[in-house]
Amino acid sequence: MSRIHSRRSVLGAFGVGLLGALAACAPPQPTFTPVPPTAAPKPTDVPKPAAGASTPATGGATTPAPATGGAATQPTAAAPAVAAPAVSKPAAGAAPVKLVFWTHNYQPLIAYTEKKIKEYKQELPNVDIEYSNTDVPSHERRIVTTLAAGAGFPDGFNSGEYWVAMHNEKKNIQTIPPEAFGKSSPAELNSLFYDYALPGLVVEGKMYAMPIEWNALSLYYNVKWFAKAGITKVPTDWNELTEAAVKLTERDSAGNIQKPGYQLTYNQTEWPLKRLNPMIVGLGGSLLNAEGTECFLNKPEAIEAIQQYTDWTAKHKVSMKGYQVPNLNNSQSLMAGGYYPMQTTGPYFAAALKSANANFKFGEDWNVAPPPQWPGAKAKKQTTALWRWALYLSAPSKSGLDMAKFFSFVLKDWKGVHTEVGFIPSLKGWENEAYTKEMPWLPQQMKDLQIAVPVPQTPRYPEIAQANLEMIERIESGQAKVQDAANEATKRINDALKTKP
Amino acid sequence: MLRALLPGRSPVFYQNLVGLFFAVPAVGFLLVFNIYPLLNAIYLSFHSWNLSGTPRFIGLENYTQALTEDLDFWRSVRVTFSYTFGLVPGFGVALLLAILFNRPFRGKEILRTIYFTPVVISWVIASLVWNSVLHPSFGLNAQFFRLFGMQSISFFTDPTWVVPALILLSLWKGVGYWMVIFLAGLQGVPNEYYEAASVDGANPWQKFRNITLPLLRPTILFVSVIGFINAFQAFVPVFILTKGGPAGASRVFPVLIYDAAFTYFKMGYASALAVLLFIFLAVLSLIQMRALRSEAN
Repeated sequence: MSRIHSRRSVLGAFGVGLLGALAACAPPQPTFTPVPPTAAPKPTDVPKPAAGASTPATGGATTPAPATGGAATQPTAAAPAVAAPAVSKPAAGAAPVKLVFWTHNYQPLIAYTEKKIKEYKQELPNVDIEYSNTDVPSHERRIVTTLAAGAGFPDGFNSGEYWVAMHNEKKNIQTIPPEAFGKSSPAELNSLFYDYALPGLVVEGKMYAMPIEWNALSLYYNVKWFAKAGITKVPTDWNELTEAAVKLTERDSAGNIQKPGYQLTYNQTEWPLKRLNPMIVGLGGSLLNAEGTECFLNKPEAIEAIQQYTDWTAKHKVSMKGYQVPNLNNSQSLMAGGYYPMQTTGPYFAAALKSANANFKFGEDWNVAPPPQWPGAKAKKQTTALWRWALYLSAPSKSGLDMAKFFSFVLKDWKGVHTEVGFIPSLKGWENEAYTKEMPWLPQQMKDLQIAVPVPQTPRYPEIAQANLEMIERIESGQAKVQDAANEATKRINDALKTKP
Repeated sequence: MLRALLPGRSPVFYQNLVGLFFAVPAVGFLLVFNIYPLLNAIYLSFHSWNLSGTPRFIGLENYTQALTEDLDFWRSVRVTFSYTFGLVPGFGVALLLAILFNRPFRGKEILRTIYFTPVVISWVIASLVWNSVLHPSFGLNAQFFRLFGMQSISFFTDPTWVVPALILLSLWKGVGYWMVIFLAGLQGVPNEYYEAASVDGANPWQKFRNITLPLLRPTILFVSVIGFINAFQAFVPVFILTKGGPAGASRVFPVLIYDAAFTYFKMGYASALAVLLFIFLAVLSLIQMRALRSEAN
């Protein structure tokens, strides 16, 4: 009797076949045997200081003396020329090391990092570094979420110093191993850096983030534009800056801003707080109390600072939210492209302007001036914003020492860090280098660093920055008066400061 | 083979078992990507967790905070309602377009395609395009106002105009989709009814009110339920264009949830907000279905 294959039997066979196909797709169990890690290479000796340089007192800061005069003068610090140890060549047959490194998408930094990775590969062929970058909010978000997930996190990343407290609270980061710099203790490692590059990055004597740059806000302006507008005196206080910005702002016949006189940053939390904080401090106030448990945004000093800050957008209309120019996506391109006559920004702007437009020259086209202060007796303190971007090591990474060695390789090239990326090096000893003679803007930048103050370090930084941003937006859009908006922001921040981790 | 493995069962049993085998992949997908995340969110909503350590049980604290302490919560609810109900006229426009395209005329297919094209454009592209169009300095909006010597409106940075601008963008994007659904519903209405009505001397409005609307009720129910659910879950255009600003003026509920989770890293609180949204949408859908079904009856 011939066998008749019923529909049921065909379906049944098909179902079994499908299950078999699914089983065949399952990944095989790994069968390799993990290679034991090779011993860390011995740190080499630190080179002796350059002749003529004096050795600083133990634990003390070696402060570069501010330069005087308008001519390009070298900073006259007496720091020893301390270099990071040379990269040790790997032993033959050294085990491959794979590192993952993330940064934000600041273009000069991207190009420089890619270059250093190639150079490092030539020094240590067994080390592969996978590098990626993205915009700042996404960068910060993916760091936190991948570390929380315990997968896909980088071995190292850069980030602002205001994240140290939060990352420490979440136990996301590990200390920087002194061995990467050829040092045997955290104190010795710390002594390689300027003291005032370290606040907030060193906790209980141990460095949790290595400052690759440190910044103070200075005033960068377009020389020719100032001349065209008949502005002969560079603004030194906020009133003068406002007057200049009004003259510099270009509008169309209907009054719409075509080129803002003093453009602020919108839609992100970092810059509004960074700019507002020193304005509050300059009046004798502060954002938080000394313990970091109470917010003072509704106090008179803060109210005055907030009023000044928001007036640029709401009252004087010299800054515009949503200002965009097609194909010019950052402030350096806008300034070099003739859309911004002035900006308060960090020292890296010199390199950024050059990378945006190599023909936009210092002196002829742009110049740098001290950051404006409060006028006359109002000013209780001369100040500007201080902020650092630092290199961090992820806590769960097993390759922290290898990653830290790459950090030291990058940092020791302070000429590259300084001239190509524009970051003022935080390692001591670069001030007497010949290349600094080609940076006539440097003395002003170093002078501004002396008076700079950082945003308070707290794990609740995201809430504070967001509340500050929304307060500013509410005022600028006319939804609330300054005091009311500040009261609400203060309440939010105080609630956040009370929350347990 | 099944009979050999599990002998002595009824034929219906074997049939059901085969059916189950075919359903396993789909059920598995549903369990892993729908049910498990939902249950996990409900679990997290009773905990405090900032992505470090283990979640800490806090009972109903997240819900209490949302409903009684968080100013942003109620602001966000108001914004979401404004945005959602602002889309309702779009349903009417879609229905009119469907009625129009249900008649034969030249170029109908091309016009229908034009109206449907925004539906297939991604939300990201649509948002970026509208950002340029409505830009207060360089966009078409600015050119238009300049013609009359007026200052342009900063749609996405003005708290008065931001929600209407988002509604406009969503209508432009969504009307084509609803139109196609209404069109399918209209084509299911037998022509004989209209012919009979014509014989009885009914005018177009009477035909629409007494034939089209009642027979289109299931379609209207579907469009309104899906439309409301989608509107309450709107995230991409708001995130791309305004991030919920200025000062929360466009912070729809999904953006509030996102901020809680990924700006402040309050995963427990964000989960509680998500559960509240789920409950609200479920209740709203039930009310809609009951209201429209009872009218039909």
